[in-house]
Amino acid sequence: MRRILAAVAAILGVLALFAGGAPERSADGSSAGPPKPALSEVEGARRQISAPASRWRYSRRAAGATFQTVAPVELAEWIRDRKPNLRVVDVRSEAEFDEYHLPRAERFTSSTAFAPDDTIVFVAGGERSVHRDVYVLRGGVHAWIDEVMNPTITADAPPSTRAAYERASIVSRYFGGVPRVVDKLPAARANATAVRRRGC
Amino acid sequence: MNPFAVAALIGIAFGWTLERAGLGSAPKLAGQFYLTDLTVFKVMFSAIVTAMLGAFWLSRLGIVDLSQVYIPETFLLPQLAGGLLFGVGFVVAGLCPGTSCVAAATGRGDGVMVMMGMFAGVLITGLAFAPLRQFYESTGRGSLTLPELLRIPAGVVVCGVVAMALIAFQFAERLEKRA
Amino acid sequence: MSTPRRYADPYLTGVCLGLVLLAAFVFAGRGLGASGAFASSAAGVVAAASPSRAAANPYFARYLAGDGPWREWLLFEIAGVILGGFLSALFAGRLRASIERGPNLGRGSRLAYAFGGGSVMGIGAVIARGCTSGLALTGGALLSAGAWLFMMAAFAGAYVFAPFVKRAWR
Repeated sequence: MRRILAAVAAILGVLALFAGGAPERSADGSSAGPPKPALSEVEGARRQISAPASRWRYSRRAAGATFQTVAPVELAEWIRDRKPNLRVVDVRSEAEFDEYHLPRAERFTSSTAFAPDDTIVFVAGGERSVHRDVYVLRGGVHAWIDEVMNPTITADAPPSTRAAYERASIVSRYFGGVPRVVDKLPAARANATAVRRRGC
Repeated sequence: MNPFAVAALIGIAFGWTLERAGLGSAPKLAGQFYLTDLTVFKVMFSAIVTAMLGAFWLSRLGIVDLSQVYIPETFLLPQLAGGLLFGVGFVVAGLCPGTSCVAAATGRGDGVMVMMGMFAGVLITGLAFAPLRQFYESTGRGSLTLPELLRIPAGVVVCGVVAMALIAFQFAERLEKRA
Repeated sequence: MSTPRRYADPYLTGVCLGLVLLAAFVFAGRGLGASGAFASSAAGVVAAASPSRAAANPYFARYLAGDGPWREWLLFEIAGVILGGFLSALFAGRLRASIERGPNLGRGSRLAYAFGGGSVMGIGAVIARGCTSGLALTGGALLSAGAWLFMMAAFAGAYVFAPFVKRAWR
């Protein structure tokens, strides 16, 4: 019986070697396979990024903005499909970038991070090198994690939501995310916060 | 189901399992630290490997969302110092907090005393917390996991832990035979 | 499995324990624990004796938030542990009022060691934010770095100190 237990453990352990995903640390951008953040990194990011990820906050920020926005799932498809001349620039701090960043994102090096109400001006060489296709990722990294890495849907969702979920799931799995059907949408980390406060 | 009912049910299974293994008996637990009876190690690491593999695979298959499970946070210095102290207390008492409850439940007076000691220790430390506070809150690293720390994929860590455990179990068997 | 004194195979029981822990992850979104139950009840006792003192204490205050110190998940879990341990011993014929100790230690001394060891564990558990159930088992399975550090430190502390209390166990 002990041998059986040991054998099962050994098999599951060895299989885990192939299921863990590749570390996403090399920033050379020339990796052979798809850029897959390891699941543990996503989990770590999910926990460490402290602001709560609630959906209504995203649209509020985008209202009245003077730039184009791109939704996380669409950006994910651009990255997956290696959209030509795509540059994904992360304007958060170095610490935040190191914690977690999108696949193939580059960190914008500046002494100070950008604030939400900054006016950002791209300065190019002249008319010929004007940048036209400039986007802001709607909802930022939080939305990426919520909608691309952990897309969820309730069992009784209407067909339109279901279609969006299917689309998200395809690209989610590509990046090592985990799409899920849930009883109710993640109401939260209320559970985790309570435990965090009181310990074990 | 009511979360407290779930807690109680899980607790019943927890207590039952500990008692079945004999971990409600202080001399048996203490044997671990004299290398005569390595039951503590075998039970603990079999449990860790099982739950680790379960959590890894269930999350990979999308059945469990590990980001919704509370992962104990890392505080380097406090957990190092607290761990050392805890170990000292453990070998003196022969029971840990969980097993002391099992021992008490099965009629062991020493189990009851360990529980009372635990309560006293926690109470006094809490009351005298102010000077400890700075140390207590130092060197926090959030929910740091071994894969993040070592910058290797979780699957590699999982495989490594399984391998180490299986090898260690072999050693444990040999050590016990010699005792 | 019902002959008194004949314990179950440690590896099998370990696997069962791991499954219990896994069930906690799945059905409760958290792992096991024990020292937190002691902390919460200590907070409750202090609050009962002196509410202002409890509220002013940075360690106990957090247990007074939310639903209060007595509606704590770990307290219900520990109640279950006590019941489960009792039932298991009952069916195995292992219920016995006794003071278990090493062959060379008297009953009184054993009780003193138990209380003293328990207190030191209590201090360690507060500082480390957990014990073998919450940190070593749960955190170990979830690959928490701090949990593994605690586990190694605890084993180290115990092994290093064991020779000094040899007369308690040998």
